[in-house]
Amino acid sequence: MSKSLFPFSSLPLCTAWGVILLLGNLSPLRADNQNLLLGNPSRAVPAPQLVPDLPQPVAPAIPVAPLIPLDLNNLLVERPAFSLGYDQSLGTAKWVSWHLAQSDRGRSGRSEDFYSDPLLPAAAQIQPNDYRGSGYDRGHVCPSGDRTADKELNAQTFLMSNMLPQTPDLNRQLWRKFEEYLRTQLKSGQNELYIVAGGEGTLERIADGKVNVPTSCWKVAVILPSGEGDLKRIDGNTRVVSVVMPNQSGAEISRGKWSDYLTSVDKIEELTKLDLLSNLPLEVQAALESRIDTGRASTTKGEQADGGEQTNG
Amino acid sequence: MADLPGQHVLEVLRQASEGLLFRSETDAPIEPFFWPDAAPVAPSAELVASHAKAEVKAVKTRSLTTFFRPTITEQEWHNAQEKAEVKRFQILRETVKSSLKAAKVFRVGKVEVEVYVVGQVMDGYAGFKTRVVET
Repeated sequence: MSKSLFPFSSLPLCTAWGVILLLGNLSPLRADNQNLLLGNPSRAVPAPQLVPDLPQPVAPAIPVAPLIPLDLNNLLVERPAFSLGYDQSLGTAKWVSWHLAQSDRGRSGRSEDFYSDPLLPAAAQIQPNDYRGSGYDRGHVCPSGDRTADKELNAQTFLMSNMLPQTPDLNRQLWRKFEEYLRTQLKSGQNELYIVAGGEGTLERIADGKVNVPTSCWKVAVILPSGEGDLKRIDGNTRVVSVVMPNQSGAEISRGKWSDYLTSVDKIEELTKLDLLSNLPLEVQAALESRIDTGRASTTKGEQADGGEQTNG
Repeated sequence: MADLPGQHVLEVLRQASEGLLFRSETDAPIEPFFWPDAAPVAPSAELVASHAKAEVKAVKTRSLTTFFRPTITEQEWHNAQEKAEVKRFQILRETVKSSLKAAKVFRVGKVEVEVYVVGQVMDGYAGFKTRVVET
């Protein structure tokens, strides 16, 4: 961080920085490959100090009132690995959003170190042991496998704010198979993906009521050829694969195909009340959001249906 | 280090692991075992494969340090229960080091992985088994 950016400690300039930081996060004019490029699904707002990869303002001599009220049930937390909208009343994120490219895949290994999110207020933090004995797995929303090029980014996927309580059958089988399928769609770097996912509904609550167990888990993946100017390149022909999977146990889940759970962005928006892909032009959203994917990439050479077990790409 | 009898090591490991759960995407119990053998050598993938009823190629090794690291590292956000568990895992690790010869970690399978921490004792092999889930 350049020291020359912050040679000041006066109040008006700190306020100005506060405004710039907040607006920077709410602005749709984001650079390519940003985790939140396609939109902020709940218009979640960051706490001014919770922006780790932007320079922090010098602490003002007089406290500055927040320009937008902090809402702990819709808190934007952004990191290099992913961005998420956190809901303290659920003890989970409402959505997690990330970009996936071939360069995100490598040999960094898995962290295995689950930890509570230091960027959340202490009262909102969920601990790894909050899931213990619940019967649910700590299910990654942004998968560890989507962040294997860099140890630090992989470590971030083990934040408890990136977890949903998922049944073993969902976490270990059906949800995992779709994660692996999406990585095969990178096609060694031919494609890049924008993914947003989360849970919906209340099956029950665990950890003395602190953590909401969703009735279903959903995911939307936009798959486009690698390139630049992504917001402009996504059009009515871009492939969008959306699924919603029940957070249940049983053979339908443990032996099911992800392609049996295809749905549309519209249906997920209806279910979750989120506004997905909101940074795309309205006519592109209209073209993409009612569509249900066929379950296979529509490339020329007659690919087999992809709904079953896949090898990692 | 003199080799200890397997039955004794089994008891020691049971005490050290009583009530401990190994954390991954799930939480799994730690199950000490003793495999009697008249002429034990350093444990191998073949040994574990036969006990796990798995193919040798499904068995991978990992270092003890890597295996134990998340469990024995105290974090600033730990509460009293977690701090106590860290201490217990430190004791378990020390117990493994002092009771077992040539101890190694073997992992069998993928996604639902059986983990064997096993070493040589006077009259066979001993250690403990647990499970991790990695998706």
